Amino acid sequence: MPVVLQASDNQQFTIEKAVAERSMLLKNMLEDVGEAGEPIPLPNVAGSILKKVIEYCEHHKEDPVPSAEEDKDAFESSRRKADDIDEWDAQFIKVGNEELFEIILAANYLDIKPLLDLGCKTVANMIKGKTPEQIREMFNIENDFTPEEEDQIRRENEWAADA
Amino acid sequence: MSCCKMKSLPPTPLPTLGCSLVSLPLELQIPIFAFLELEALANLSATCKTLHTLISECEHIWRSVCRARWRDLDHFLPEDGQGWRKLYVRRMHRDREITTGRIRIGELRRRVRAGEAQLYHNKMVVSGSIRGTVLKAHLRGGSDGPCTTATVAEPAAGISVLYRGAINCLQVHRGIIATGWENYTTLTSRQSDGTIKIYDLESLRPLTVLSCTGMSAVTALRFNSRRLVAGDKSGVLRSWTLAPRGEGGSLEKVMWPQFRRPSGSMARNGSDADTMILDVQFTSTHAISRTKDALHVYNIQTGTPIQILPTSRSTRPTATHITPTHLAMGGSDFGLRVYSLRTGLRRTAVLPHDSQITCVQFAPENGIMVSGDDRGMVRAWEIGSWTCIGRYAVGGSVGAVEIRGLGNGGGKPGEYVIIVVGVDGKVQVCGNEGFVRLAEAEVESMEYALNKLNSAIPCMSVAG
Repeated sequence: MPVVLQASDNQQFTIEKAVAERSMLLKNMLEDVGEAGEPIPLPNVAGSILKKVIEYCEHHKEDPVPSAEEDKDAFESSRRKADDIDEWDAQFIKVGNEELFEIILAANYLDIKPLLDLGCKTVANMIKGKTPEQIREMFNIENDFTPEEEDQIRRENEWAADA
Repeated sequence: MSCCKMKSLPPTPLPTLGCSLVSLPLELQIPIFAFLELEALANLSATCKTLHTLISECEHIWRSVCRARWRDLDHFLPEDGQGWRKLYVRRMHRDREITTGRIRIGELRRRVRAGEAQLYHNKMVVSGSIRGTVLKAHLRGGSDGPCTTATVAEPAAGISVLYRGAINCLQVHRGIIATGWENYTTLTSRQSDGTIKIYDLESLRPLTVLSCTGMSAVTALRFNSRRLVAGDKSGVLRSWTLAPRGEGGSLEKVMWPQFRRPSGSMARNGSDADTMILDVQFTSTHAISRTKDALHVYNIQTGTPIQILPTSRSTRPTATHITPTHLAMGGSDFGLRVYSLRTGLRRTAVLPHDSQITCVQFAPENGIMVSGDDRGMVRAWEIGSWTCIGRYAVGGSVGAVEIRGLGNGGGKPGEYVIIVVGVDGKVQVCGNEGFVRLAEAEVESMEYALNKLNSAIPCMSVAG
């Protein structure tokens, strides 16, 4: 039974139910509405991003679904490491900053935990090993500290450097 | 057209170009930041005010960072009004202390082979004299708590040869126990090799085995959250970077000792007893290894030797302690040498004892250094002026000293106690007011001594 998704720009995507069910939001929706066959509107997700998200779900449709318990505690999980990213995932997430954040927002909205995780890890890896100036440049952050404040923060942070 | 579509978008706005990290909703920022280590968090918080406030005030982030780093977090829940960030900072400092000698407390100091002990979070961890395939660790609870004995099964050996060996040294820290082994291999091999095995302290489940070709029996080791440094019987020092929570490690540097030029034509025979590393310590800049005859100082980043101490060949090192700023070494001539590490390695003082110095310990936060000797005299020195500000005599030879500041524990800032462990197994606790004895216990119940000490602290602050 195929499922039709409609993005914010009215683009429609027809996908397998198993693919749609990677998203907890869609899974719950499908359970509620049954087999109506109507397109499901996703006003929070643009077509280009939805296409990306579907690509991810297609590739991962065979993955075991994480149990609810695990899911609940995933944020606390100590096994979280930023550097263990699967090769396919790493290629998949090689996108521009703007697209990356949109994927994260979409994954959060659609409730696709592994994709959200992948996005967060990727952003974390982009931050790692960079100076504050490099981080500002990368994410276009405006430096709103006065020189005095900046100096104080540098002193505060000194001990963190050689931990 | 597309402009109209944008306007019809739902209340949660999509991030605008570029500034997305800052404008991301908090529930998405937290999981991102939870993947970051301290250094990256510090750099991120220095980018703008919004992120600075968020990172310094978000307890979720700090709890998550703490959980990722330590296995034994349940023992270290934040105290009232302290929070996870403070806890993180405090433990990071503790990690550093431990790498530079502070595990001495609780160690029986009877030399390694007969078994070693370490006090860890009011639990005594003892390794028996281990032969064969199991390590026994006894974890003792509070003063009258039950004594549990756990047995560590060896990780399944790939080959069918029965694994035999002995533990020469151990350290317990952040919920894991690292043990340095001498492997008994074949009878024909002249030099036994060594490995380091790391276990989870609670379950005693094996986590990692660190080995390296050419490593002989491991005779001394120290580790912190990031690094493990071990010395072997042939005098070589090796450092590994550790994965968080002890789950893996990779060899970082091999530090070869620079042997002194042999006098005349007499070459060193290099027997085990001469080259064996007795003590290892490290800071973020230096690593030191002490053998029977010399103290080797290395640059830990590059692995290159910096100096061999003492410079006089007739003197041997008997005790040492390194901090990021100072290095102290007791010599067999009863002189305690202090070196400054701020600009290279420069000797700043030689302090007299009247018998062999058996231990030395800095407590920079209290502004003192404490040394103990073979005749049972403990001396406290003021860092900087290097004047002797107090003496405390114990019955027999001093095995180890430890300084505990009372500033955070209910006592007045600047107050501290010195814990003296005798080689006879007696523990004494001496306060800084007049250097008088406050508590005493047998080493078998060291935790009792510490409990007593802890209960003595409030009284002290009232009386003092």
